[in-house]
Amino acid sequence: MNIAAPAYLMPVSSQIVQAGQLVSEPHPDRLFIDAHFGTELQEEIDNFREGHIHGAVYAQIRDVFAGPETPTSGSLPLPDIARLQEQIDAWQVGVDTEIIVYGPSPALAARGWWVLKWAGLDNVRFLDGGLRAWELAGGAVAQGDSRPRPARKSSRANLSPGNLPSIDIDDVERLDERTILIDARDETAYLSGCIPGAINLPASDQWTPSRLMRSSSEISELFKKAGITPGAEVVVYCGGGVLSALVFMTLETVGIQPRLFVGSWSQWSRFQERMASSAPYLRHLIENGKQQLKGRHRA
Amino acid sequence: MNSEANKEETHSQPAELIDVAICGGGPVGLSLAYLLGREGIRVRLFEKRAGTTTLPKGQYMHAQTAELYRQWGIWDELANKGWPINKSNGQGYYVNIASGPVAQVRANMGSEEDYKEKWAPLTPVYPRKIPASDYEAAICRKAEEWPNVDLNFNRRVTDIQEADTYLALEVRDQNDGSPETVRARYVVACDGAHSFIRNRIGKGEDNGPAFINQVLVEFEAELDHSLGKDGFFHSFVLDPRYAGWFGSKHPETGSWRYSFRHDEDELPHPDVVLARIRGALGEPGLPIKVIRTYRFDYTTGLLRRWREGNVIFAGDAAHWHSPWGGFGANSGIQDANNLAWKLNLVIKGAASEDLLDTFEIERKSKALQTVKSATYNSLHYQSIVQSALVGEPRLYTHGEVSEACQQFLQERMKPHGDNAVLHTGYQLGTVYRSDSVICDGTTAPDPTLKDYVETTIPGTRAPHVWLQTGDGDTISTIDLYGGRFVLVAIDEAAAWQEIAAGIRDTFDIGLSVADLSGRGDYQPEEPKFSRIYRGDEAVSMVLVRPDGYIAGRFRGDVQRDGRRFLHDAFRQILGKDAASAKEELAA
Repeated sequence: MNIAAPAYLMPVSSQIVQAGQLVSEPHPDRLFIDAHFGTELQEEIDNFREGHIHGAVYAQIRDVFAGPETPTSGSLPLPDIARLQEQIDAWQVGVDTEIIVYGPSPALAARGWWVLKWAGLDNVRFLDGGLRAWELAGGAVAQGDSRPRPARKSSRANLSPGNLPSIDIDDVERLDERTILIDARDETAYLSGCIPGAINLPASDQWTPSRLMRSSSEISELFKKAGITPGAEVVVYCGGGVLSALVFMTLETVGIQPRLFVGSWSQWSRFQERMASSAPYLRHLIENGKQQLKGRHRA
Repeated sequence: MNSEANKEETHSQPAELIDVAICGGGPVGLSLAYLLGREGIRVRLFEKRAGTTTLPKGQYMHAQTAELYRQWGIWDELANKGWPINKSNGQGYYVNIASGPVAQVRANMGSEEDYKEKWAPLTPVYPRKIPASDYEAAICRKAEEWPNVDLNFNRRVTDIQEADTYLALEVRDQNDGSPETVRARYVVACDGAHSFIRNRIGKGEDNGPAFINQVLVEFEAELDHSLGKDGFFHSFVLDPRYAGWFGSKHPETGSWRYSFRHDEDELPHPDVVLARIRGALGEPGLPIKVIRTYRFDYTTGLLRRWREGNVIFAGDAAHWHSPWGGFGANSGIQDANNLAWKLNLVIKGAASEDLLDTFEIERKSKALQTVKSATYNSLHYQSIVQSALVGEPRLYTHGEVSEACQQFLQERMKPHGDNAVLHTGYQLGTVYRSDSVICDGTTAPDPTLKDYVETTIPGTRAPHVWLQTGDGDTISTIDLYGGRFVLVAIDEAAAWQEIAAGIRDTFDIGLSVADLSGRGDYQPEEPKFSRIYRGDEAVSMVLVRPDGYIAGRFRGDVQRDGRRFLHDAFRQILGKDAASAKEELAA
């Protein structure tokens, strides 16, 4: 009897896969990508070496899923498509490759997932619960560096940009009243300064302390309480387009595909006039009590 | 008559001084109220809840606790409540329930009758699993019967102050907040792990690990042929995604229980609860109706001093821990049994206050054993699960573990002997060493968890022996004990009767004589009686304390030394010289 497979909870997005399912359904051409970020680059690499899904490759978001910062960009602008193409070629990714992204936190994996789908790869999924869930489902793990990937099994996957909706800073400034602007950072960051008109829906409310995504019912309730209903126009942002990538993914549960403002707060805060417009909004929030949903995790 | 003056009079009239105020009406407080009430002590008990418990907790009834229930006249009714043995038989380990058990410990390998027979050599009763709601209600009913006992539910103690000659409690009605001042000579704090009295009066405690966010779900589902089939009392699930345990079906409501450690303070969403139960059962589509979801936090600790002036601490208020092992209610009720007779004699002036100090001395070592065992059990379970899971990939995909894993698990079960969690040594093998025990140079067997050796060495439990009455009925020696000292006359009964009469007179305490010499009212079962009570050394008398523990025993020349022996024994225990005892009573 195969007990690993059934998913007992309705997943919040079709883009999310369960470890048990992957373990019980091997795939001849599956690539696991372990997406890391962090400020201590060596620490992130060491973390990968301590344990990763067997066969997984290491991806530093700054190098793979973002391009270099410029004086007017956000901290993690979208990557150059040609460079991303080189990387996936090096990983022996073909048109039939099933790509599973995971990482130390759900948001990091979501950023990897988002960029690959934006680049036109369709068979990309997000592993719920990351490495820990994989281990708990009996998946094999490995230590040390990642191994060279076997030669590509299908024809080359040709990338192109723009396959997921994004929005640039000028259009964010001109958003109409009806569009709901979501700031996916934690409350502290939001209250230190946000884009005028943004409501706060911390991405971290959407996963449990063990980093499994909450159920579809729980997350839909979060969105509904914030007034987000099917058919609404939504834009999401965060610090640099990581946390917001997760909320982008989970909005599927209320039937919405939003636009991702990749530049996010790190881009907005470069500009004096834009910062100036943030100040009165912040005052207004603090004076009137913000529209806020309580965080799930206590200190 | 001036009504204003009347009102002033009422205000200035102090509250009546009672003997003992008991804070907390759980099993410990209620047992103490019953025991003190039986001796005519004026008791008022205050409990903040509306009534006795309805929580799914405290379900282990140890043999020694059952013996007390038998003495109190509630064993017969409780013997029929709760779980039959074939529905509460030990612990099973599963990957998930649908895959079948991979390891087990059984409390009984035969029928219900076999189980009773297994215990019969040691005790006239046997350990059972009974919901606390049943035994608390039974104890409460018995306590209420005493006219000198006043049980007050829906009343919370909100302040305690020490005056020169009494303690003053402020007690508030939970419904309207109206206060009442209660004055008592003694206050016994039986108010649990989060004791208010301990918080106010206690002089420091030592803490152990906390086990927080334990979620317990009561639910209904068709599980008789899966989870119910193997008849375990606890069924542990090893799959780490759904790790937790199931309790067996409630004998009256038919509901099931599942408990697990949750990873955050808020209760899990109902969807998450259902998914978790189904995962643990290995039954994805099973219809489940959740009745109630509880969250429990368990802390661990020992109060350093159990007596501050006339405030005494008992039960969880003095020693609290997680429920793993079924120790809490049982050890707390034994605390009440140990304290009640001492408090009774002190209040009546028959013993000096020093007698109260032996309560902590005697029960502390038991409390240490209890708290350490509960802590060990809680952490041990985690280590069993983690070590079992290493290197078992088929566990997740097929619900199977390797043979090596099964052997490993079975070996871990061995230390429990054949009693699963109900260690015989813990239940019956308590040993006391204090001034309330007259040493005779012999050493009691080590009070281990597992083993119990019947003996009459002072400080141990007076063993059970069947007795035939003149009417042809069978009772146990246990039925003779409880409430007052009992002199068990094994030989020279006539001489002991006379000596006992003298003691009663001198010390003005209750002391009955059980003539088991063969010429008295009871014929003891042989060869056990001679082997255990008379023994190799020709013991002619065993003095049993009101709590059923042996205070002392006599070998030698009864005519020459018997009176002196017994006189000295009581003087030591009561802490009073015969002469001064009489003087105080006359004053």
